[in-house]
Amino acid sequence: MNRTLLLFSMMKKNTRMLQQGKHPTLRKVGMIFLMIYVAAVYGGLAIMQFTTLLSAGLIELAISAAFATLVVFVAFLVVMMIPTIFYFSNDLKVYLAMPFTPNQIIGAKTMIVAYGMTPVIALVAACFIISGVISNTLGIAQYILMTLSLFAVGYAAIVAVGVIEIILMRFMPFFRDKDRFMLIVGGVVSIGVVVLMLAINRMDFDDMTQFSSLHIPLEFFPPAWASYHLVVHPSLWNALLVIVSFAICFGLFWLCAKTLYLDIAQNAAIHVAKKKKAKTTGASNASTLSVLIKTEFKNLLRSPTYLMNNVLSGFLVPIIMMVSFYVSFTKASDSAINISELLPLVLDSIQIGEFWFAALIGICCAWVFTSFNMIAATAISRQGRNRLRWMLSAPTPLTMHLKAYVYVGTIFTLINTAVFVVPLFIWLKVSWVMWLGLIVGFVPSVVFENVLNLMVDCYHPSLDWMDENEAIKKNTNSLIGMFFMAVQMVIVIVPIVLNITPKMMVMIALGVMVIGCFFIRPILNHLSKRMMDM
Amino acid sequence: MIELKNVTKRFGDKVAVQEMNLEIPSGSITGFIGPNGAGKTTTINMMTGVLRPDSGQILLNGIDLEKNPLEAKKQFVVVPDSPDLFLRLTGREYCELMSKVYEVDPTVAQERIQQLVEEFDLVSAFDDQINSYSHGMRQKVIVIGALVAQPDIWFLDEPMTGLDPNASYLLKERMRKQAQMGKTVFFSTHVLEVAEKLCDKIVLINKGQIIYEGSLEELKDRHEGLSLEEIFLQEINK
Ligand SMILES: Nc1ncnc2c1ncn2[C@@H]1O[C@H](COP(=O)(O)OP(=O)(O)OP(=O)(O)O)[C@@H](O)[C@H]1O
Ligand SMILES: [Mg+2]
Repeated sequence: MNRTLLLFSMMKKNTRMLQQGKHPTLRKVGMIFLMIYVAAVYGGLAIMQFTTLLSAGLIELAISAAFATLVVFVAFLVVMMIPTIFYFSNDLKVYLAMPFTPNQIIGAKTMIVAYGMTPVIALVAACFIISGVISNTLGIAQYILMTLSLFAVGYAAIVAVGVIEIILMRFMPFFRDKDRFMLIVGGVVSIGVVVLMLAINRMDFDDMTQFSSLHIPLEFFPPAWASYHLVVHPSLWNALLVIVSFAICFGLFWLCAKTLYLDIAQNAAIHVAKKKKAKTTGASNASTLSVLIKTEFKNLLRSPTYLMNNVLSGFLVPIIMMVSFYVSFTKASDSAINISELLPLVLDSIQIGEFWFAALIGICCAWVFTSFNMIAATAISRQGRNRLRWMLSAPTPLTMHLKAYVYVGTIFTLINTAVFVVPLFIWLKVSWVMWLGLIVGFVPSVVFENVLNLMVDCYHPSLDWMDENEAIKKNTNSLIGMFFMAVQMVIVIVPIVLNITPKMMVMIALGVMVIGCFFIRPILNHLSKRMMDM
Repeated sequence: MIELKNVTKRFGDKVAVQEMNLEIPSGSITGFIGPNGAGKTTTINMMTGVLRPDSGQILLNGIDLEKNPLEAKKQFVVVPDSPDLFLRLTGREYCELMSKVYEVDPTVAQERIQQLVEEFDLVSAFDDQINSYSHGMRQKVIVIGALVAQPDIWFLDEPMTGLDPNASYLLKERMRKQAQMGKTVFFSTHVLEVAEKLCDKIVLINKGQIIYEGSLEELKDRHEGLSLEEIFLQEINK
């Protein structure tokens, strides 16, 4: 056990952030801020859900909701984390060469996953307790029992996902390729998130019986199901059930880890080179800039990490927005508002005319989607130290590289926006004036916003990462980009909602974007000078 | 032709390169030798515009790197110490990118790529992502990319690491050929035998300072009867 703990602390140190940036404390503050932000958003939603149920007296439903939320949440999060840590991390060969037994390695790796998930489990538990206090419906024994079983179920969920994935890796060699695995599982998780969002969106919060569907995840997962029964009806028999289900769950994991894990993990690093037929493209006359743009496209599309985080997630947000718009308004159409009346209604309440309203939509889309796809905000970080050196030593002006990143970011934001706006506008049957307004608002904003996000990343990129995941995930720049976006939105939207010179506000916002575009060249020049000093 | 005049680089309190004066003539191969942490990579990074010296001047073919970076950078190409650069590109795409960046005529570039790939025995993997290459294969692709560009000055930071005998022989041949064509080849290495066979001139560096500059024969004459290794150790520990 001591050696397992030693190994665990070694791994923990190894995954710690590389602190070579110029502003380590700033970065740390940023990360903490991000965590609090995420916790507040998800925690707030969870508390709302639990409190609604508890104050309606539906205590059993609230308890099952807590377990279901926990299981689904943990499962979604660890499904990518376990293979990364268990199979695809390159530290395994280091530990294998050290005097550790396979059991100690597996134990330490499991502890790493559990360690990473503990805050999430604690968050769910805290939300439940807070909801209990707010609604004042639970006894002290229930709090204690609930907290203990939430933690136990959380860890059991990790282990259960582990069992499934160890079996998957052992018997389906197809998944042993890191890139392929990440892409497929990432895709499945994304679809799962969309389905879940839609399900939540469709829920009618006045009709409490719908919440009974929260039982579904529990029935798939015996430890959660048994714990639910124990908390609701404490009895010796139920306690026995809990013990048996947990024993089976952890026992199975132990067995799988012992017998199925190591051989595969040792060979997981083997790359299966794809045989493609050589394509002699012949001499092309493309300009250097367009080759740089293409290179960055390949970089984004071929790396599963970037594909997931920058490209696909960039599509996920507009699709979810579009679908939820559609769902909520088709629902509304058979009761109160008709779709064809919707637009005139909105235009009537915000009196800025069709053109400026559409321009406002264009500006907002440019802001929102640029910061959501994070392509410009992580452009330099994605390159890493080695490629930055290459950029600095190449005989192309740095501004050309920067320009290429702006182009790539702009193109993706354009596609993201199109996915959202085009169906919406067609569906609302808007006039050509609005299409025009949209384009006029969108074009300068998207270009300038991408430059702005790139600027943030040029100022302190995180260049020293071990794998691409770190380049994106441990990057506060995307957060700063989002912060900029939020500030801009507040400055523009609040006066419009309060009806303080709304038309003027849109014009000013657009004017700032247009003027900003005239300063792109000096900005890029300045940035390239700055990068010479890195 | 590379000239360094009073070049200094500090990292915090640590002086990585101190008041370095150096002149590397054209048409020759110069070996840059020194223990780990001596400042070789730092020097090459400064010569290639990756790091800005704290003081001093660097001229490449007479062009000031600080004042006229773009022109200066057209003079050289560099093989960096780590080949993990464009892992998501295929070998071919990387070489085409290099030919674009160094403004090589597309048809010429195609011919060069074709020939080099066959020579370095990389045909079968050339259309796979560099990600799936071994260390030596990555090194080969980087070398090919540099040779496609074929500029006047060639910087190589420990280029032999990971190359098989055949590839390292080919690389040495290429380096010689470049020098015969009147170009400047400057490379760092730890392998003294390579330096002995290849270099017209060697530069010894330790703790950021040049401790010897000249031909290897001259150095050998100074230390009669000692092996290369012993000479090296003596010079370093002076
Ligand atoms: N980015 C950096 N930050 C701080 N110190 C650095 C940095 N890069 C290099 N150094 C220091 O500068 C000195 C010279 O390093 P350099 O990489 O040039 O050595 P080298 O001669 O290339 O060594 P090796 O043979 O191991 O490649 C070392 O003491 C190193 O610690
Ligand atoms: Mg070095």
